[in-house]
Amino acid sequence: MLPLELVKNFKNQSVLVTGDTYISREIYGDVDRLAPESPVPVLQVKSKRWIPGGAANVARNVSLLGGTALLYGFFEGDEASQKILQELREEKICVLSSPPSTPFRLPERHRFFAANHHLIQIIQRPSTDKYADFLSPISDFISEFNTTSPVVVVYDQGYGFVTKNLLDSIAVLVKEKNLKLIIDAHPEHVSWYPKADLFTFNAKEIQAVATKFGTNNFSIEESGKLVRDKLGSDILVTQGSEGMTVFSLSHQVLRIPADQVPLADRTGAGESVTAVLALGLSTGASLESTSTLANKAANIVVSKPGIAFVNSEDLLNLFHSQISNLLLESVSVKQQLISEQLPEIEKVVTTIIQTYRKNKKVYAFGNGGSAADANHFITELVGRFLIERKGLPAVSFCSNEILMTSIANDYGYDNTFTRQVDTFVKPKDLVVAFSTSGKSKNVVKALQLAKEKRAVTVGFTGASAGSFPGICDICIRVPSENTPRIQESHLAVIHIICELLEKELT
Amino acid sequence: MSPIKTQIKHYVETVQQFSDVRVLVIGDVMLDAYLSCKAIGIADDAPVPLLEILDQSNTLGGAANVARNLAQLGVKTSLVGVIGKDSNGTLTKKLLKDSKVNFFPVESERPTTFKTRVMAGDHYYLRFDEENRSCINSTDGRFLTNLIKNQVNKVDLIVASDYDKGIFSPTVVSQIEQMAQSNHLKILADLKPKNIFHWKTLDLITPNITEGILIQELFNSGKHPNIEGLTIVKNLRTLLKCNVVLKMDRDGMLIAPLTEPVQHLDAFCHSPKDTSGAGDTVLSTLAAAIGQGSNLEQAAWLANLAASISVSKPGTYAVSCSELVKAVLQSEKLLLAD
Repeated sequence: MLPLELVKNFKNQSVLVTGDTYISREIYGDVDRLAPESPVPVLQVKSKRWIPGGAANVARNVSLLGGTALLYGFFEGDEASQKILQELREEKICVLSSPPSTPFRLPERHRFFAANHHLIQIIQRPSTDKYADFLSPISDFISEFNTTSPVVVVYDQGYGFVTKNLLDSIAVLVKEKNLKLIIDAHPEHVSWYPKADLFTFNAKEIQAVATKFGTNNFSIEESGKLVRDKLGSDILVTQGSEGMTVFSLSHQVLRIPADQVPLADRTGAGESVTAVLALGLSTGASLESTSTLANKAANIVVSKPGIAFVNSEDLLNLFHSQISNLLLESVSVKQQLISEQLPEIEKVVTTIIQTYRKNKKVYAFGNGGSAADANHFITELVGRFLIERKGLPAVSFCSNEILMTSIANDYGYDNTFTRQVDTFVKPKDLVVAFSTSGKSKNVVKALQLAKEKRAVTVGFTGASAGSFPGICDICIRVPSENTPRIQESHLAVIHIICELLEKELT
Repeated sequence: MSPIKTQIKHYVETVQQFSDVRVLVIGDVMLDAYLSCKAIGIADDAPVPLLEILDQSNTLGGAANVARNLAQLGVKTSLVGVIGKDSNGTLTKKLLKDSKVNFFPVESERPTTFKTRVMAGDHYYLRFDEENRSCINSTDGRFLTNLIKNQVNKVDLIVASDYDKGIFSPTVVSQIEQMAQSNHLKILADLKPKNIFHWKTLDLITPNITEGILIQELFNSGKHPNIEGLTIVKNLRTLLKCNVVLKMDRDGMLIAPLTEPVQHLDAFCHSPKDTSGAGDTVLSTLAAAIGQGSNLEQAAWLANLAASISVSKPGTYAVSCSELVKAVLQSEKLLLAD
């Protein structure tokens, strides 16, 4: 499925999220002095913000991506919980929580920044590790809200919300209602987990789990395969700047490298990845295409500072920016062409003019896209380009498929053009060959023969040029190794040549 | 009775009479927090230390700590200062109430001045300050002077504790000085050097050496300042026309009464554990004793003794009146050495 369609399909999906929610606090300020009592930096706080992280952030990402999120958690009691509840409700995320019998504080993670420099992180455990005591069973929640969620996400950070009991009741629920299950896993809890459709780990965690299974010093690839086989489920390992790796039970290991984006920080990337995976699997898309999209989502999040989210617009914009990047790449190749190839292009123009003034002919050939370029060039000469004039004698050796297939069949493909060069080309005729690599055998052979027959040889190729420089009198080398970018420039040069010689010859 | 025994008896009586003294503290109220943490590794999303909080404790700081020290010495203490309408403000009020300080707060829109120290074991990682150091607005300023006006006729002495958090504007200072004069109250002050020029009628200032040098520099603008304690203290007395107690850490203190020769007091404690808050102990003991009627020399002797108790305890410590009495009774040797 196209990534674009995948994002659009997120709209009708619903995801039940549960697990650890924590408060992510970010403290920004300046450091311009040391404390008088001891030589440590004093951070003069300028601004603070806090946002729900963990399970609540997965739910928020699901919602921002267009899906319907349900959050099963424990959120009443403290000031922070109240604010989270309010925000989640504003985003129409349905939350189940039960009022606590004792005062309660969610776990917190404080991140300190001086300018953009990250100084330190401090975590604060929740005020209880007995969440399960406060909550009614998750199955009650489902029946109470009468909602079917095709995908259940368990976001486990080891803060205590995810217990063996919770996992057991989720396993029953998943089986009963035939739901899909994704677990963002915590290494300490691996023995508790039921079979799932997907487990996600980060690089450090997967190695910790491999160690638990009794194997030390495993690479990420070895660890991933081992954990996949031990858990009997698909595994996705997030690897920060290295991107991610998917260990699927039914396919080969899939490496998905991260795009090169300016990195702000990784906060929130894990939650966005989990949200995209949940929505993707919910639509029924393959793990491979979903993971690729999740990787894109992570790239967006890490380029924003602090805890960040991804929404469907971001993802769609990403595809637009891919398009504009490709166009810019094409532009940049043409700019280099200006700085490197102007004398060569000029030589081709003057040589063709001389060829026609001597009443000689022009021939052109190439394979595939380059054959199309050859035909395009010949068409502009025999037909007309911009102004009304007589046709210029020119023949393409790749426009007659009956002749081409017959020669290929009888003499071998390498001779498709030599046979025609031998038949038509006379001394001082101009032979134009197109090959982005400069290595196509039938093209190279035909050029060699043309040279032997004392024709003038012109080559259109790319930066590496293959054997063209040795056998071409004039060689246009587009400064790129990328076939589509080279061919786009070839067409531009063809048009330039036609325009200039047409003016001169009429 | 030997002269020393008489002297000890006099000091004991002085401390016991602290409970008759009424002091008004005006100044920058602060809340200090200590996060006691465990270093658990490196964060997974950035290459920075990752700590886990084991315990958090809050203590009063600035003028609030001076007030707590006074109350602990038995003095009837009132405090006027600015806090925010935030949870730290609520906590500050509670801690002051627990310390038996009558707190009359201006509850401002700005945040309560809050300093957090992040510690892991003995290692001090970071301090972060949440505060607004700009001058308080005129509404808060009027409210502040009104609160002071309600208290000045019920006290024996004013203590000003300035940490440059913006409450002592020139207007506020001149109103405090007017009210002090009309009620015949002395003002004892611990001030940030750059704000010293706002004050005209101080009775006593208690700078440390660094502050003393800075004040000299401000007066001599550009001239090479003298860094020798005796010269500094004499200079300050001449420049400011008030009594000066210069705190010199391990070197004890220099007392410069306006009309008498300068005296030196050795530090009693030679291996201090924690000097934080010792300056507040000195200021509050001086205020208690002067409020009781002692002369500067006697007040400084008690303050020096109280400081020796404070620095021998970990953290910011407030010395109680019974601790001080006990220390006086054990001070025979110190007096003999004098």
